[in-house]
Amino acid sequence: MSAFHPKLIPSPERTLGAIPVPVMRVIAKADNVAKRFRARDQEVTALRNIDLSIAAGSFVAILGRSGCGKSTLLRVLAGLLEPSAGTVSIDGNPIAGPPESVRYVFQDYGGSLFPWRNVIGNVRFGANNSPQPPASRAEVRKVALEALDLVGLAHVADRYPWELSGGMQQRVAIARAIASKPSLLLMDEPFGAVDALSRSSLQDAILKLWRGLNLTVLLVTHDIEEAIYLAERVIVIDPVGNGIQADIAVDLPWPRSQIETRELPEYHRLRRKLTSAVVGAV
Amino acid sequence: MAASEEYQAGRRRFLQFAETRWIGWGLVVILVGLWEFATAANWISIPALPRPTAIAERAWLELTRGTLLKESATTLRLMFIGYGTSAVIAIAIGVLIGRLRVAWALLEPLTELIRPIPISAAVPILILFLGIDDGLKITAVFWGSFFPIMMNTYAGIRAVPPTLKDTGRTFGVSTLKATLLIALPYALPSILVGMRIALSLSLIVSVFSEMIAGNSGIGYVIVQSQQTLSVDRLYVAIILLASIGYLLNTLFLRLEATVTPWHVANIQAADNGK
Repeated sequence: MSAFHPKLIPSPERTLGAIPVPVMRVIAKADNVAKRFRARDQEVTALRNIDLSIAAGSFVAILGRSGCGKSTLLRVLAGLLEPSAGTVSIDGNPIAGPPESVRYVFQDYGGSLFPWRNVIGNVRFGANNSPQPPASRAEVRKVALEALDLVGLAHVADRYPWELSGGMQQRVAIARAIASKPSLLLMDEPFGAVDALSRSSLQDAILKLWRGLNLTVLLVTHDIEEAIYLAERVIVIDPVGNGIQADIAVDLPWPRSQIETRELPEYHRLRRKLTSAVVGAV
Repeated sequence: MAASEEYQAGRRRFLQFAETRWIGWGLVVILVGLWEFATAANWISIPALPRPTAIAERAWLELTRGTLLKESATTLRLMFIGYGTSAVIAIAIGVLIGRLRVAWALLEPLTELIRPIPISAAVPILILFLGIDDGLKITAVFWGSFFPIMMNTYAGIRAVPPTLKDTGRTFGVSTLKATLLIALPYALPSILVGMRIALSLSLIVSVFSEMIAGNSGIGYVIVQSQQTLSVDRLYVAIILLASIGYLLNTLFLRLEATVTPWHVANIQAADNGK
C-alpha cells in the first residue's frame, strides 16, 4: 500500500496540452527537524529526524503516545517554537515565526479565548487579524457571523465564552481561527478536553469545515479512532520522538458517518494496524 | 412529627439567616446600643466618650447647618485629582515594565528603594518642597496610590498565560496590539485590585496630610475639633470619614463587577464549587 496519499489538486499551470495533470502542492514541509529543550542544565531531545510533507487540501492526523513530541512538532510547524535543527517551510518559504496563513487551535480552549470579549467579539478578533482583513467594521462583523454560522453558534453571538459549555467554547475558538481565512489549520488535541458526545459532533463539524472551506488540516491526537475517523492520512511519531514510525493512508469512503464508518471492515483493519504501531512499539 | 418538621424548617431558616451579613449588622446595632446604655446610665462617664445620641444630634446640626460637607468635598476633590493622575501614570508604567524587560531592569531598583518609604514619613519633606497648599495634598495622594497600582498592574501583565500569548502570536498581532488587546484586558482585574487598595490609601493619606498641614478639609476639622475640645464634632467627622470610605469601596466593587464581569463570574463559580 502507498505510504503517501495526498489529495490531488489540479493546477492550471501544469498542463499537458488541454489535459490537466493533477499535481500535489505541498503546503507544509519539515526537513530533518529536531527540537531540544534545556531542563535543569540537561539537554532533552524532544524530537529529531522528522521529515514530513503535507499536501495542500489534505486532512492529516499525527498520532503518538504521550510524551512522543507530537505537540512539540505541531508548535514547531506553527512557528511557535524554533526548531533546534532543520527547517520548516510553509508554501515553500522557510519560516521564522508564525506564518500568516496558518492558524492554531489549542486544546485549552478556555485559556485561548478572550473572556472579556463576547463570542462575536472573539471571532471578530480572528477576522481582523487575517492576511487580508476586511475593509470595514460591517464587513468584519459579516465575516465573523459567517464563521460562527459555520460552527453552528450564530445564536450565541452575544453570549460570553464562560457562559458556554466546553464543546461550544472550542467551536468559538475554531470559528475565530477560520474567520481569519487560513489555508492551514493546526489543531492540538482540540477535542481532548470535551465530553464524548460533544466530541463526535465536533469531529463532524471539523470535517464539514475542511470540505467546505478547502482547508488543510493537521490534527494531533492520542485517540487512534479519532485519527482514523477524521483523516486521510495518519502519521505515527516514534515513542521517543525519533522520526516518523508509520505513515498510513486511510482509504475510507466519504462522507464519513459516526455509525457506518466505524462499522466498516477497513476501519477495523486500520484500527488494528495503528494500535499495534502505537502500542506495540515499546 | 409535624412539630419536628417545623423545628427542622426553623433551624434551616436560622442557619440561612446566620450565614448572611445581617447578623454582622445586628452586632453593630447591639454594640452601639450598649454604648448608649452605658453612657446614659453613667456607667462610663468620661468627656472623651459622648453618648451616641449626642453625636447623632451634632451630626444632624453639622450636616444641615455646618461646614462639614463642604470640607469633605474639598478633601475628596484633592484626593481624586491625586488618585486619578496616579492611576493613569502607574498603569502606563506598570504595563511598560511588565512588557519590556529593559524597562523593568531600569526601573525596578529605583522602585524597590522608594516603595518601602511610608508616605506619612515623606510628608514633612514634601512640605519643604511644596508648602502646605493643594499641591502638597495632591502629591502625597499621588505617591500613596502609585505603588499599589503600579505593582498590581505589573503582576497582572506578567501573569498573562502562555496559551493567551501564543494565541496572539498565531494571529500575527504586533507587540503593541498584543499589549492593548490581550495583556491589558487580561490584567484589568488585577489593576482594579490595585486601584481599590490605592483608593482607601488615598483617603488615609489626604486626611493625614490635612491634619499636619493646611487649613481646610476633614483632616483639618478633626485636628481643630480636638484642640477646641468639640468631642461630638470630632466623632461626627470620624463617622463621616468611615461612611465615605465604605461608600467609595462599595461603589468601586460595583464598578469592578461592571467592567470585569468575567472575573466576577469566575469568583462566583469558584464559590459555588466549594
